[in-house]
Amino acid sequence: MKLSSAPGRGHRATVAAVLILNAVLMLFPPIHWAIAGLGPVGALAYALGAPLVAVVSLVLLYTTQRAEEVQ
Amino acid sequence: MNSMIVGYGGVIAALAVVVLAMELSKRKTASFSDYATGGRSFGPFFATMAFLNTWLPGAVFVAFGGLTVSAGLLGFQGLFYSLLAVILMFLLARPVHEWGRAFDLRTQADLLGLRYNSRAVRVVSAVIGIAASFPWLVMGMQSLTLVFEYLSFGAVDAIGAVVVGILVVAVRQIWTMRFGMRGVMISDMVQGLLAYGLGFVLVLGFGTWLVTNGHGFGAVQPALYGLPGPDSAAGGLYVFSLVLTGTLGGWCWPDIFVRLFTARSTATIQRSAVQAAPALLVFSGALTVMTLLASSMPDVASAPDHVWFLVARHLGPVALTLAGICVVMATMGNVSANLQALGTQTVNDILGVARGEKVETPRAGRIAVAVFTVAAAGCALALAGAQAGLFVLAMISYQGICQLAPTLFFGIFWQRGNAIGAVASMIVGLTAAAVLQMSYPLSIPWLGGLTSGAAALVLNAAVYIVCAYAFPGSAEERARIDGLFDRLRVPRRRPLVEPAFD
Repeated sequence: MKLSSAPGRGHRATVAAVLILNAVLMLFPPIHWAIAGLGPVGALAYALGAPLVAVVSLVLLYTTQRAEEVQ
Repeated sequence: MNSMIVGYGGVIAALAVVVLAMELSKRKTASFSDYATGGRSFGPFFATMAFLNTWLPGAVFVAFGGLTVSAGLLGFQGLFYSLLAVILMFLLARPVHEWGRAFDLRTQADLLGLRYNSRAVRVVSAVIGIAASFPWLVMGMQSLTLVFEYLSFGAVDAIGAVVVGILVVAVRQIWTMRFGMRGVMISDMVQGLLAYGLGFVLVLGFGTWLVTNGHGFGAVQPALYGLPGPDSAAGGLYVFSLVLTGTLGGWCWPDIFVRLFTARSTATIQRSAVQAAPALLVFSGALTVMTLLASSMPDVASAPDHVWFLVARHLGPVALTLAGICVVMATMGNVSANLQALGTQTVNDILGVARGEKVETPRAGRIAVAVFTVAAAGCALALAGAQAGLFVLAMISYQGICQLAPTLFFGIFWQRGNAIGAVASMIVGLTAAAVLQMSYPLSIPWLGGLTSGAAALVLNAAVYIVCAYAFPGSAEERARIDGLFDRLRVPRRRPLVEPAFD
């Protein structure tokens, strides 16, 4: 399946890595099931940490794309 | 009575500030395209605030707060799918904006009509979007009931509060109708600052008060620190389904998608995604943690949906009034954007297609927004005592709108899909989602806890992919699609039109 609309090979790799990382962190059911065993601190760390990874990922996407545009 | 004057007066003052901002930024609307997209002239700050004010309705304070109180960590699913949706926003920015500017696209259905070169795809997606959004519009109009009940301090009963809420929302729409998308963008900025800026300050205050009054993390029921597992009543795939449908479905709502047409460039949308993500994390994260802490209050545990107001009430009438203003501002943003999107989509993608012409004057858009406002207010009043039935309809429509996702995302990111697959997958997905939702309102036990929308999405995507390979299309059509995608590979240029709103 050929995906379109994403410019540059380096940027494409970043996009793929970001999508996989965030999809696993927030969508993968076994991670959801394991939360109850982490206790309050672990559960809250996951609930706020996974979205924080998404925020950092977006900044990474933005900066790699900008760098590619400058080149 | 004095407290009621503070409560209702505060809401009136906040609404007056919003209307004043819209009047001061008034510009002549030159065309229907200008009315529908705000002239594609807004910078990243406006784009961010508009996205937030549409994405986070008043329900985040009420229904999502209630969900956290009763189901604990499950309340974080809204934050999860919001951030995944913002990542998608970043990826959608380039194709949607470039095609939108090049072909004067005004709506989501307009874009799908272009991509698939099909009136059927355009009309079917427009009808699904409008039909699925309308019950939420009616519920949005009814959602201010709690605000006006609490802010009356006992002077107005629940039915009276429904009527007051609907009238306030309906009157506010006069400005949505007059100013179109430009008015919506300006008001979203003011409403967003009040709803989430003021709201965040309140959340910090409420959280501090809770922790210092015996409602710390240790007081929360241990069961609330988990998510439904394979042995739960909902099933092991329940959370996965909620996050998946929330992420993909979010971009299927016409009022959310049209945001991508209002920004002045691809870079603007991408910058607004980068700005929206931390704002969502900080605001939604703090709000969800605060409502989790409040779950140990006895009065909150007995009325979870009232959590925002019950905590505020402990801090006095001024805090309660400010809390009410936050909910009103968040609700206004969502309802206004919804009305504007439904009005323009009806005119652009149903009436325009039926007449075989491109709509050029903003007058038809204004009339359509007015008609939707009156119809939604009428339904909201008529169904004031039948919220349960309306909620069932809204849940069916939520699972239904997600079924636009394969047509939308495959269409934008994959060149192979075709109109036959798009129409077939949308209809199959919608039918499957509606039937499954009526039989399994929570989740489907024999599918491990998948929700109706998620299960239908699998079927929907399968139909789309099979049709893509079974009906490859003519050489001429493939060349046309190649041309569309080739536009996205040319070097970026500065926007032709200088920004009007930074």
